[in-house]
Amino acid sequence: MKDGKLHILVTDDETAIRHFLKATLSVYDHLVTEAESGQKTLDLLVEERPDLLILDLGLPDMDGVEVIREIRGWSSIPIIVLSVRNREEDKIAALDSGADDYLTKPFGVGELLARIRGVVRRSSSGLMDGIYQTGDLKMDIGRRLVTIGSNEIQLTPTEFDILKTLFQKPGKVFTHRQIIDKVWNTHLGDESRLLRVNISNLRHKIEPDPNRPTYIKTDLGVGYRLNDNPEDASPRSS
Amino acid sequence: MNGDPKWLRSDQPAKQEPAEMQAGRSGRLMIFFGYAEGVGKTKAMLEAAFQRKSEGIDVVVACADARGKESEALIKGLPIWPLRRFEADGNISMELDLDGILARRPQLAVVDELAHSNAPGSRHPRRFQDAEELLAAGIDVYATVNVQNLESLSDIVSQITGVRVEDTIPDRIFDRADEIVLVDLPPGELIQRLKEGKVHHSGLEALEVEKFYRQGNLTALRELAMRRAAERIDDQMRSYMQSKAIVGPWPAGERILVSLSSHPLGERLVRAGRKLADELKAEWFVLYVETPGHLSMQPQNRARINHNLALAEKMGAKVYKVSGNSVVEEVLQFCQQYNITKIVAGRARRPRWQEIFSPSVLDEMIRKSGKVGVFVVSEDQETLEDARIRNWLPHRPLLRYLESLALVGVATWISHLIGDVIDPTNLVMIYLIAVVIAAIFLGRGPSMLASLISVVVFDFFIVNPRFSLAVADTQYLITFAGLLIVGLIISNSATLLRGQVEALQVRERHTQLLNRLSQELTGAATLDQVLEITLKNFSAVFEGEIVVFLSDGNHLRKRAATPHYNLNESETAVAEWAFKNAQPAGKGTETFPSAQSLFLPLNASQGVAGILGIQSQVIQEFIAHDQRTLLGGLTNLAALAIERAKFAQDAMQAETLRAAERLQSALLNSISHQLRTPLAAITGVLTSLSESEKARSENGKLTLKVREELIDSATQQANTLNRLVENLLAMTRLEAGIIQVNSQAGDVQDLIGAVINQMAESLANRNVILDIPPDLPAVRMDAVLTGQVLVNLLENACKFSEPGSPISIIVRQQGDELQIRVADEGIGIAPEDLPHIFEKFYRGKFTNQAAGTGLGLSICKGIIEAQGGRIWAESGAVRGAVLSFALPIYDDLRGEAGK
Repeated sequence: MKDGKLHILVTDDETAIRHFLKATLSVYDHLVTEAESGQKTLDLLVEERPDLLILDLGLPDMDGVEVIREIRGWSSIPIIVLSVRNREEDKIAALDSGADDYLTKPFGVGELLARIRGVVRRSSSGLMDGIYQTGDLKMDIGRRLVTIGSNEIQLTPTEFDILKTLFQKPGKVFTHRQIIDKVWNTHLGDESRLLRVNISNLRHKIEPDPNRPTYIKTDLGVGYRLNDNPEDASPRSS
Repeated sequence: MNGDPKWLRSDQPAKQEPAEMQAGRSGRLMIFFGYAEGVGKTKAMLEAAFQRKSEGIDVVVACADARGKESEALIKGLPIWPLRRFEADGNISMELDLDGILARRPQLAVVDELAHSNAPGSRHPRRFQDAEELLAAGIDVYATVNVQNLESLSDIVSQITGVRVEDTIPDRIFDRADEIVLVDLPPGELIQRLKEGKVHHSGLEALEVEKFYRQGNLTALRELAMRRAAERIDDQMRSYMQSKAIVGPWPAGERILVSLSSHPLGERLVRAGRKLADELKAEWFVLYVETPGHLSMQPQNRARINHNLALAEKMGAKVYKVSGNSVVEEVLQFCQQYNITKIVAGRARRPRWQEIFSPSVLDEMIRKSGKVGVFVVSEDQETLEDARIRNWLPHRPLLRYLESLALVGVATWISHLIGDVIDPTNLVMIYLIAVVIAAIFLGRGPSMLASLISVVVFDFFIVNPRFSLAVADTQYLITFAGLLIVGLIISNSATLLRGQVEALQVRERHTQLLNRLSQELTGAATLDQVLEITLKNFSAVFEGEIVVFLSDGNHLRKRAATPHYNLNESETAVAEWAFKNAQPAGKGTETFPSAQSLFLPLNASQGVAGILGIQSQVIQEFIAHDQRTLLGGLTNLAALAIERAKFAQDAMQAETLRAAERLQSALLNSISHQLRTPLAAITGVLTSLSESEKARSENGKLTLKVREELIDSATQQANTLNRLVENLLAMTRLEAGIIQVNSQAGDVQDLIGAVINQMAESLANRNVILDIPPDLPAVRMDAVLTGQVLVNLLENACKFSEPGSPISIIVRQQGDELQIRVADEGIGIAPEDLPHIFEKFYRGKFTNQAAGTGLGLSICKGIIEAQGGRIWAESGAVRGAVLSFALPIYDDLRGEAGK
């Protein structure tokens, strides 16, 4: 991986999609390897050690979610799922099993490139302590301090933990379950409600307009993510 | 039945208005409705008119075709307005004198044969028009109509009978009738009457008569008539049920029986029964047991009974009249047969001494009622009438023999008292009286004993030498022989009589069961209703579990069963056998007698429609000869009704299929257009770009600006296409029931924020005004689906309003729901479109210029309603449209966040 040029493995059983992706990504100087099945994907990951995997879920030999689980057993390669399945259950299943991002077909090339940049950036960061910032929102994990501009925001421990979780990978969608697992260790069955209420409270504390949140975005039915580029008002269709 | 027509009335007789007849008031029309000439409509009508006349109503017979002895006798008792003579083309005919009757102004006019065509020269060509004029003048009309005279049915009738009926009346006449009285007579009896020349048939040739009066035809016509009448009643009942907000059939938990007597307490009993039934949501019955004492009942008591029975019927009870010797026995038997859980009975106030010496009917009922609860309504004031019902219950056998001996003792005592003045041969009569009493009340054995003992005692105490069995005068031997023989004959014949009475009672019960089933089945529209009624009635009659299999081509499938029916494979095999051989099988028959159930073929006109299985402890009783007719009758009724319902269902399925096909072709038309348009645009852009690339000279190449424009438009069209496909998928999923609504507590503010974020591109040039109050409660929703709804509504708002005009999203809490409104300032919705815009493929009047499938809003409606919410459209206050939906507030009282 040099100068933002990546070696990308593209897995899709549709030749048209593979060719289109190869052509498009090559324009941006990425090196593209193609695979059309789950098994081939696993083989190529070992043989060629690519930087990024773009994976379709509907594969002839195994389900994409299975492939992700398999990979996550031994690799932390960034995975972007690219699928026609647009149901939230499918998104949640893929994200929960370890995918880094999820994009539904049809998609715009610009969107895909942005996602690629996003997952690569997140995979390189990984510091636990320290100071994180997006827009005016700043979080100092070590000192447990959250500020908007120069104003200090008082958060409850739960709100702080939620924000910390989102800050670990800005831009990545965390499913409800992923957040709950990180923030509440036990499962009392009531966490969904608590999560919803805490997010609402958090927004009232940090968002300039809670009706149009800029920092914490909702992916309906899937989860929440921290907006890693609050100045950019452009949407993220998923 | 002895040839008298049975009356099935759709309603109680008209409450007669007071004598002052207002000209402005339209008269009431009562139609006596029959399935063929000869069932007794005219007779029934005349009887009713006679009744009115005896009530003091001014009745005039405008025209009546009274043939037959009974009708002639009836019409003589009524004032007849003479017919008017009409002369046209040399033909003389007699028609109803409309002007004469209008001038005479009776309160009630009797008009026979409503469908009759008047002779040329009359005011109206048709008699029903005369009747309409009478009604308009405020005169009540009694009229007769045959089923074949109904316009809507005349085609069917001519198909059934092959005879074309010319004289028809419009259905509106039938439908405007205030009351319909269905006059019914079994086809067999009608044919009998025809053979006896008792039927007058107008307008049919001799050949046609034969064609018309065939058993099959008549049965079909009869069903037609009953169904038409039932439809009317059904409508009345539905409107009644709606007006009283009664929901659906009552659950069959409790069943209440009001035991009615002629006592003045009766009305209170009926009302108490109704109240109890309402409270328990129970089915309720009113039973009146006609005892032999009824014959000597005072007229006012009899009238009261009829009044109370009518009242009960009006209040929704199922009314039964049975005859029997003992009220208690009959009531308890009825309870068993109909699974009654509670009895309402009255306690008449009686002198104290009577209470002690003879237990009342009520006491006996309470003692014997077992599990059935008895509710007692007491008389609160002394009433003068003595409405006791004599209790004739045959007691225990031994007691009866002792009683017969006591009777002989009494006879001896009387003979002893008067023996000095009366000749001993005449004293024999006193003994005979004792024997007769014993025969009537105590049965054959005791009365025979009484005969024998009488002879001995007569010899011992009366005949000289007294206190010895020796006889001085041998002529007394003839007296002995006479006493003995007459006594024995009386014993026997009285017993036979009893037997006959009991047999009659059984038959009456059977007729009632059949009528009940037939009535209920007539009202059933769907196969499921028919099956439900069949199961209910059969399980009540046979006190057991019932199963119904229906044939599905050549196979037999279980279609319905009572909850505890225990079906195993070997039983099913028996049912299969019964089906294949069209013969009864199983318990009580000679085929598979060891089976647990009796399986009866449901024989209908098109072969065996299915099999009815009965699992009952008492089934043997019903297979006995005298009960077999009941079994056969019930099964036949069920079979015919099932077949009819199946035909109707098949017809409906075919219709549904056709409707689905129509819808599909509409869908295909719409979709193919909607799919091709963006595809054409995309293909166009791609090919022109490709041509431009290939062009050699700069001339053929597109400028950068044009290329950008083309690419933008192609991208837009691709998005449209994608949206369309998603809508189609959503619709298909909704309709197939694949979309599972995952309703959870959700935050509306979060939802709106997420949707606006998702649509930021399409809303870029819009001023979206958010009016969301803080601290909203959570709602019960599926966030993803509701998000789709909001997206659809916002897209619509964009589509139908000018770019740059504002769009508002307003959230309000209203009671226990949260309302979300999307308001635009666009072209709005035409008022006539408002009720329809949520229908599939409906395109509003103003929508022509905007692309769309007419699917978006119907999907929204589907989604919102699946979540228990509602969605509606209004016009904006100034302009534009407001589309709103409401979702139920999540009912969670637990507090705020935090840990």
